[in-house]
Formats: sequence, C-alpha cells, structure tokens
Amino acid sequence: MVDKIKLPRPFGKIVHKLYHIRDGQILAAYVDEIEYKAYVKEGVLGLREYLGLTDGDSVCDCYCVVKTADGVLHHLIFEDKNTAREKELILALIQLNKTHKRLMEKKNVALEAAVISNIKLPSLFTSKTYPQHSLKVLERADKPIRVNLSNDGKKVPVFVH
Amino acid sequence: MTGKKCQYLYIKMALYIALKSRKVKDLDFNRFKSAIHIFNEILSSPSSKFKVDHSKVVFFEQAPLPEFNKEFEWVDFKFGTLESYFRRKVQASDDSSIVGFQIETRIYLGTKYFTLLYELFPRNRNQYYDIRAEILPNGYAEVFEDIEEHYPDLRRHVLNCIKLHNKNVKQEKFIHIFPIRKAVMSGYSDEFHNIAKWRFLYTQTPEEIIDHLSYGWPELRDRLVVANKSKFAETLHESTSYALKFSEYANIAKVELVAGSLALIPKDAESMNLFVVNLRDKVTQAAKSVYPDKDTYHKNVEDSFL
Repeated sequence: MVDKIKLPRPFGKIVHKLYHIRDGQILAAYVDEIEYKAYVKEGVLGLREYLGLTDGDSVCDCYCVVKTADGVLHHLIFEDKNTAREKELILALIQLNKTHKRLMEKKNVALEAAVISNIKLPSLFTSKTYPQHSLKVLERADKPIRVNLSNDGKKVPVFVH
Repeated sequence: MTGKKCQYLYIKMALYIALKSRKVKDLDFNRFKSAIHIFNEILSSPSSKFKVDHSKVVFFEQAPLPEFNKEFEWVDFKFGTLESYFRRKVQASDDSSIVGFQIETRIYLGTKYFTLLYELFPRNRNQYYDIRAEILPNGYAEVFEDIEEHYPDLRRHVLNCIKLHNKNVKQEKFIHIFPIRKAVMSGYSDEFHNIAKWRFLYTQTPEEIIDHLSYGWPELRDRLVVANKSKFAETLHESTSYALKFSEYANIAKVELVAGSLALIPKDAESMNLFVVNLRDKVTQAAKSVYPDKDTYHKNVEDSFL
C-alpha cells in the first residue's frame, strides 16, 4: 500500500471536506491520465487503464477510495468543470454516469457519491445544503427531487462543490 | 477541464442551429422531423467522412435526465422508423413545448472515434437556437472544433450540408421540414453573442451581423439604440462600398465568405477577431456619422421644445 496519495486539486479538498481526513487515508486514486498526466505518480494511477478504456472513450476526472476512522471504505468519483460555465452540467453528468457504469460492470464497485466541482448551474437545477451532508446536493429547481447517477436501479447522489 | 488540446485558443464550443420556423404547438412535430433530417444530412450524407455507429435517442421533458421524466428510455436510432415513435411522444405529452430529444452517437473518423451529443431543445427553452451539437471530451478531442484535427474540412462540410438542406426543403416532398435560418459555432456563455469569438457563421439574414457587431461595443450599441437598426443594416447591406470593404477585410483576415446567404469560415481565432475589429470600426464610423449617441439624442429632443 502506498503511504500517501495526493489527489489533484480540488479533489483533495473535497475529500477532506466530506470526511475530515488527511490525504494519508486515501487508499486508492485513479485519474484520467490524459487530463491529469502529471498526477499519475506516487500511487495515483490511470483511470482509463484501470477501466480498460481507450482514448476514444469519455471518462470522469477522478475515482478514489477513502477509508474513514470507522474502517468504512467510501468510493467516490469527481468531475471538475473549472471554467464555471453554464450548461456543462448535463455533459458532466454523462461523463460521471459512464464512469459509474464502467466501475460497476468491470470492477463491481458500488459508488457512494459523485461530485461535480466548479460549475455554474443552469436554471433548471439548484444545490441544497442538508445537515447530513458536508457538500451541497444537486436537485431540480422546481421540485425537491435529487439528481442521481443511476444504473440498474442503484442510485448514487450527486454533490456540487 | 477544457481547451487543452484546442489549437485555436477557443473555449468550449458547440454547433448551434436555428430553424426557420414559427414556434407554435402545431408545428412541434415538424421541428422534430427537421432536427432529425439535419442530423442525418450532417452525419450520413455521401460527402460526409463520418462513419456513424451506436446511435440512440431519448425523448425528454425539460432536461435529458430521468429526474425530470416519468419515462426516460433510450431507444435505438433508426432513421425512418422513428417518426411514428416521436409523433406518439409529442402527442402524449401534456405540454409539447417542453419536449425535446437527445441523440448520442459514436462517430468514427479513420481509427479515432468520438461521442457526439445532438440535442433538440424544447420549444420553450432557448430563444436563439433550436439544436446544439457537441462532443463528449475524450482522449482525442476536448471541444467540438478539435474534431477538425481529424476532419480538416469539417466546417466546410457543415456549411455544404446546411446549403444542401435549405435547397432540398424547397421540394414538395420536404414541405414539412424547416430550413436552417442560422448556424453558429460558438462557446457557451459570454462568447455566445460575441461574433469575434465565433468559429463559424451561416445566416440567411446577413443584416443581423450589424447587431452581432455591436455586442459589447457601447460606441456602436449606443447609437443603434436610437437608430432604426434594421433600416441601417439594410442600407449597409445594399451599399456597394460596404460590400467591397466587407470583402477586403475578409481577405486580409483570411475569412472565407460564401455568396447568397452569409457564411463566415475564419482561418483561426485571430483572423475572425481581426475581421470583426476592422468591420466594426467602419460600421461604427458610419453609425456615428448618421446617428447621435444616446445623450445627444435625448438632449436634442429636449432642446427642440425649449
């Protein structure tokens, strides 16, 4: 096992915010090796290679496994839209959904949550704070319906940072 | 993440298409048919270098997500057999103005492949455009125009398809298909209205370029506020010296012009910017000589009654 895994910005901060842990408790991390080439070192591996994807496939930015003090493993995926531009939300959700599907099919991974960072939400959506979550939850703006990643009936909440 | 591989310094872009249609309920089905028709022309016409595979389509209300829809079902896209399916969908909806569709398709260019998302916006949503085509970022392309690296004539192909589409729809058998009024390759946000940042423009109403030129340019905008804008644009459009200057600037900046309707295919970001700056200067000069600015206009009106 690698001693210390550092996640690319802003994912490290998000993990810390979610679980109040240091980088040392990240058990595994995979990033899109094309977008985050410089980070593929010191325990951070390529996500495409891990999932058996080619350059032509679309994948989210990062997948990591976090271990909290109670010994529970948390599987998370991230997509960063650092341009903070409107209307990219659907695109981000498609990328996350595709990665989620791949993780389930190829690695039998049950994700805990997906996080989209640095995004400006279109008017159809809003993000709400709940006491049980450290990050805002993505919802429909007109009704209190949460937006989830979904595959085979298993729903994964989407947080916004 | 955006623009890493983009060679033109453009930011995330998509192809936007506006149909020439009356946006009324009775014609919603024709909007659907027209959008499908255009999709096929761009991707499957004989001149296209694309090979298309794994196409699927989903009809949605408001947004292409299950959270907005009672039924959210991706179906195989088969041109010709979809018509009755989406006629049912449009009719079944309580409010067809919120119905749109999204096609996800894999396009092959040689050994490379991309995932194209082609979306017909619900009628009540986007007031500028009806259709957006964009790609999912992958290892080969981050933004739509990155495909040009693998398909150098992409914008020329899109333009040819638009022209062919508009020619075809004049035939009686395509009477229910709407022509394309305008198409733009642009970014999503601020740059959406800024012609200097566009990568491609086709319009059937060349006069509207004056409106785009004035975007973010108060010197010109201020004067057009108090002007008869359409008359001014029409006068410019009919002026020979304007046409000559337009063509000259296009040559200097290496912006390709296509006669008939107006189409701009700039060589790169700098050439489009140079073209717009030059043309805008001249148009501003003309507007200044004809119309006062807003303050002078109001002052002149006030003074007349003193």
